[in-house]
Order: sequence, then C-alpha cells, then structure tokens
Amino acid sequence: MKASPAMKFHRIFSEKTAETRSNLVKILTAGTSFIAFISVLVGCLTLAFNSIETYLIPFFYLLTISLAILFFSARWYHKTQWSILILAGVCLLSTIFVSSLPEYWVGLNIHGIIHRSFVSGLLMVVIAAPGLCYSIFYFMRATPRAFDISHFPLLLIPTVLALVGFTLIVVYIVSNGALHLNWSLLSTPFKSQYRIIETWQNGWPVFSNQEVKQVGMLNHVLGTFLLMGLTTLISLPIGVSVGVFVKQYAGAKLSVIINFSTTALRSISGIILLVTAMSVLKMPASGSVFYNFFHGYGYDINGTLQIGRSSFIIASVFISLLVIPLIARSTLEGLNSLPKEIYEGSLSVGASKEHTLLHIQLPWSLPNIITGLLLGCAEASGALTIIFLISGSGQYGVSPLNETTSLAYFIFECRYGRSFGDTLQNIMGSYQYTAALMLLIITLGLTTTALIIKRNLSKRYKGA
Amino acid sequence: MINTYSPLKQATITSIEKNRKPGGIEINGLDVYYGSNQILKGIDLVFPAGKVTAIIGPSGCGKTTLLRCLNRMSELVNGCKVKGQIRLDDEDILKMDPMLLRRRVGMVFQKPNPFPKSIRENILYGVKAIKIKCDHDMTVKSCLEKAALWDELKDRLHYNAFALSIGQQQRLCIARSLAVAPEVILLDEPASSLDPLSTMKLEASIMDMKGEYTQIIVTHNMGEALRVSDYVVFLFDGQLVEFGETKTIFNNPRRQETRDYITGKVY
Repeated sequence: MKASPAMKFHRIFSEKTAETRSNLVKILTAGTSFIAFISVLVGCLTLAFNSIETYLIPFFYLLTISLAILFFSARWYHKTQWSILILAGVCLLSTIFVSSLPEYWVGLNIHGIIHRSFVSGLLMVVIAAPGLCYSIFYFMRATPRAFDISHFPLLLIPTVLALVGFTLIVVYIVSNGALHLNWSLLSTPFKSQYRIIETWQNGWPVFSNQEVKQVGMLNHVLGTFLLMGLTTLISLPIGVSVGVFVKQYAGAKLSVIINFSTTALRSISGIILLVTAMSVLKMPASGSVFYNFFHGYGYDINGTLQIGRSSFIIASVFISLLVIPLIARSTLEGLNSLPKEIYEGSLSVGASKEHTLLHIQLPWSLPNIITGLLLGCAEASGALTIIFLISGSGQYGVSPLNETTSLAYFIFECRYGRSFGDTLQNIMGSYQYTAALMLLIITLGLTTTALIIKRNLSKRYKGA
Repeated sequence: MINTYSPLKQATITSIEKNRKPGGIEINGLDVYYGSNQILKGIDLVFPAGKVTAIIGPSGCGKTTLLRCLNRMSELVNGCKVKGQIRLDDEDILKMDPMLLRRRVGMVFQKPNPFPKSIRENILYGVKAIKIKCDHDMTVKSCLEKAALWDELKDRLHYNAFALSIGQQQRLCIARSLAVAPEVILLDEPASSLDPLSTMKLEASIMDMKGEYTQIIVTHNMGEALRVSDYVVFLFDGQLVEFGETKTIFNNPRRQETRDYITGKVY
C-alpha cells in the first residue's frame, strides 16, 4: 500500500513532535533544577546567617513558576503528577505567608521570639529540595517511563534525612572520640584512690599518702559485656520458652492473656519498673550474707539516702524484664512464619512434637530469635537508670555478684557526675566521646554479626 | 508413650522392612465433626491391602478429612471430633499411639513440603526422629530409587531441598515417607501443583509401589484416578455414594450421581 502524502506528513510530524517534546522537557527540567538548586543554596545561607531573607522572595516566585511548568510538561506525557502541583501550591502559599510576616514575632512561649529569616529559609529548603529531586529525576530520564515512578522524590527525602542524621551522629562521635581511643585506655581500669606508701629515709620508714590515678575504662567495657551476657543468659531461655508455650501449648484465652501482658510489659517504661524494684530492694543488715547481693536503697548513719548497690545479677534481672517480651514476641513470629505443611509433614513421618520443635521449628525461627536477642543486648548496653540506681559505680571490679558498672554509666558520670575531688568527671571527662564511640562500636559490631549470622541461617534453614 | 518406642529401638529398619507387609484399612460407621458441623456421615469402607484406592468427589465433600482421619492428622485441628472405628490390620487406630501410627501410615501432602534441610537429611529425618537403627546411605539410596529420583539427585544429596523443582520436591516427599517403612501411604492431591511431565513421573512411581504399599489417593483429576487406581471411592456431601473397582465405576456405575460426576455433567 502506498502511503498518501497526508499520512506521511502526519507520521513525520508526530515523530518530530515527540522528539521536540522530549528535548523541551529536558530544557525545562534543567531550568527547574537550576532554580531549585539555587533556592536550596540561598535557603541554607539564610538559615546559616539569619539575614538575607529579602532575597528569598523572588526565588519563592521563581520556584512556583518553574514547578508549575514542570507540572504541565509532565502532563504532555499524559501523566498527571499532582504532587508537583501541590508542591507548587505550597510554594505560592509560603510566598504569601513569608512576605506578610513581621520581622520578629512572639512565638509559642513568652521567650520564643521567632526570626522571619529562619522560617523563610526553612520553608525554602523544605520546598526546594523535593523540587530539585523531581526536576533532576525527570531530566535524567526525560521519557514517558520516568513518570511512572510517581512520588519517588517525596519518599526519597525522608530516607536521605534519616541517613544524614545517622551519618552526622557517627561522624560527630568518631571525630570527638577517636583521638583518645587506644589499647592502653581499654586495657587499664579507672582508679582514683589513696595508697599508703612506705619509703625509707635515713634508715627510718616514712609513710605517706600517695594518690593513685589511673586513666582507663577496662572495667566499664568488661561490665558492658558482662551485663549483656547476664541479660542473655536470663532472658533467652525464658523468652524462647514463653514463645514456644504460647504457640504450642497455650489455649486461646491463655495465649491472649500472655500476648497482652508481654506487649504491656514491653511498653512499660524502665523507670516504672525501677520504682517497683527500688521499693522491693531494701538495704540489708550490714552483717547479712546478702549484703552485696540484695543491696537496695537505705539510709546511712547520718540519715542521708544511699542509692542501691545490688549485685549485677539483680540489675540484669530487671533489664531482662524488658528483654523477655522482645525475645518471646520474636520467637512467636518465627514460629508462626513456619508453613503449616512443614510442621504437619514432620508429624506425618512419626516424629513427636518435641522432636519437631527441636529440629524443625526452633532452627527455622532462629533468625528471629537472634534479632530479638540483639535488640535486647542493645537495650542492656544502654540501660542507664537501672545501672545507676540498682547496681553502682563498680568499685569492686567486674563481677556478677557485686556491683559493677557499664559504659552507659561512665558517659553519664562524665557529663553529670560529682565535679569536686578526684572524681571520674574530673579525671576522665575528656574521654566521654571515646566511651560513646566504644559503645557505638559494640552495638554496631553486634548488629553486623547478628545480620551476618541471620543471613547465613536464613539461607541454610529457609533455602533462600 | 516412651514404652511404645522401646521395641523399635532394638529393631533396625531392615528387620521392620522384612516383616512389613501392606496393611488393609477397614472403616466402620465413621462420623467426623468440626465443632457442630458434621463433615463425614456414617462411612463404612474397606481399603484393600496392597492396592491403590482413589477417593473422588466434589470440593468440600470430606475427602481430605477422611484421609487425615486415617493417620489421625485430623486431631491437629481444634474442635475436630472423630467417632466410629478405623482398623489397620485388626488394630483400632484411634487407640494406638499417634506417633507409631504415623510411622505405619505415611502421608504426602497437596503442596510439596520438604524440610528446610539437605536432601539426605530430609530422607533420614523420619528414621532419626523415631530412633531406628539403619544404614543411612542404603536408606537414602533405596528410598530415592523407589521414588525414581536417584539418578537425578545422586550427585547433589547435600543440596538444600528447597532448591529442587516442585515436581522433584513432591517425589522427595514420597521418598521421605518411604524411609520409615510404612504400610499405608496417603496421598492428598499430590499432583495438584505439578506440571504434566512431573505428574507423569509421580504416577509412574505410584504404579511402581503398587503391591508393596497400600496407597490411598485423593484426586480431582478423573484421568489420574482411572490411570492409577484399582478401586475408586466416590464421596458426596460427607456420605459414601459408591465404592468399587475402577473399571466398574468408570464404565457402568450403579448410581446416577457417580455417572454425572465422572462425565462432568453436574457439579
């Protein structure tokens, strides 16, 4: 069939227009991204210097117009991106809002004087950043397909913000703490005490008080590991048993009750548990066998309140009360994720329920259990109030039967401890970021190990 | 419960295998309830030893329930009540130890359900679970040979069973149930998730096992029932409609419902 000149013209024209359109969209999106970039820059400068907000108003207008153009260019591809239009609308409203504001106004409370440039800079960044993302995204892929992934930049922004937050924290801790971190710091315990020294002068012994100061955090690091270990020892068997009991043996009513109570216990704040703990644990008589073990609060001869100095086991029992629900819940989730067919298959070859539990169900839910345990360990390593009030400053070294200390307590003491005399704050105050870094290394190391174990186990047991 | 295992502990799988013969199942007045809902109504049936019996019928008529009663898997469902008598070689299975019963009456499920372990471990799972002494390598080999898998899998026995194709997984499940030397094998729509080629292989291994094991197969596929089975049971709405030899049922059934179901007129 011979194509008529009209058809030929139509084909060429439509091809041409598609090409032209795509080029036009590229130009438009490039322009928009430039304007959005400048807007973000100016917004950041305004936030930094609090003074150049008058220059911002034209950028607000420019951004509104370019976002509107971006919206209509998207419509050429028959894909209506309402989020761009909403962004443009927000931009226009903010323009009106910012230009109608007085330079200072009294904010939420009596002292809260809010500067106009701060608000306008913040608004500029918040609006221009997604706009920048949108326009760069469409410029990179100025094809109809690009518009299929709608709202992508709006979801990207929070993700980037979360990443940036994490990175900032890590960079801050590392840059402040890495300088002091060395092996001798980790291998010597902190000491601040007086020692009687015997020296010989002219054939006579002379006794003198010598101050011993040792810079180090060995006991604190070991104490953190000990706390995590004790918590694991206590909470892992109990938590797993609770999960298995709810799944396998409890009736409907009982499992509802257990589920509710584990969730409730999980959501109870540590300080509420602690109040209970403090009222239960009281200072024993000084001759008691349990003097160091159940050493709760009490009053000394002068009548001043003494904070509890129980053994580390007591502290980890109270942390376990928070960790057990976590492990029980994750165990239950793991057990529930096992397909019913595999469970029935195991029974159908004559295996007992106990054998199935040990060889099929628990190995299957091991990754979940490890995740729960990891969260519990993180909880234990960061538990400050319990260490602070139940177990103490670690004056007897590291032992599960006496009061022991942890890194969390170290950081707290460095920041808010007693500042007179040779206290930890005065001697080791500059090491607080190192302790924080150490804690970060321990937690991140645990996370990484758990992730690796979990991945390998998932491969092995779930055949992924 | 432990006492019932003690004769087994001394026994080896070969001695069990030597004394083993396919078992016949006899059902008298079986009623099954889920809560207040009666699923099976007064079933009287005989599953002849060493033969393949197909259970056919429309969905929801109680085929799977009947099958699961035979190795007491129905007990796992909450609120399931079983009344009546089921005999396996003159022993009342409702009074037997369920673990021992399930060793003697194996089951293959609708969806392939290999354990998340290696192929070898899958087959040895039952033997290890009931603690029978056996030559592990020989057991793996003979079971895989019976399920026509040995040639395909002999070089990769340590692979994860999940890495196999669906058809191979289902035949592995058959091999797994053979490892504990059962007398009866229950097959619950074993070919429903398989492609035609795998179905053919599965049917071939069912045909091979004829005579050695009593096999009871639930199926929706009339062609499969015709090819594989010696006897056919037709259930409808929880009631036994017709039971007889496959040729009789398919060529001239006595009841009109059976004729309609087989020719696909109603339902």
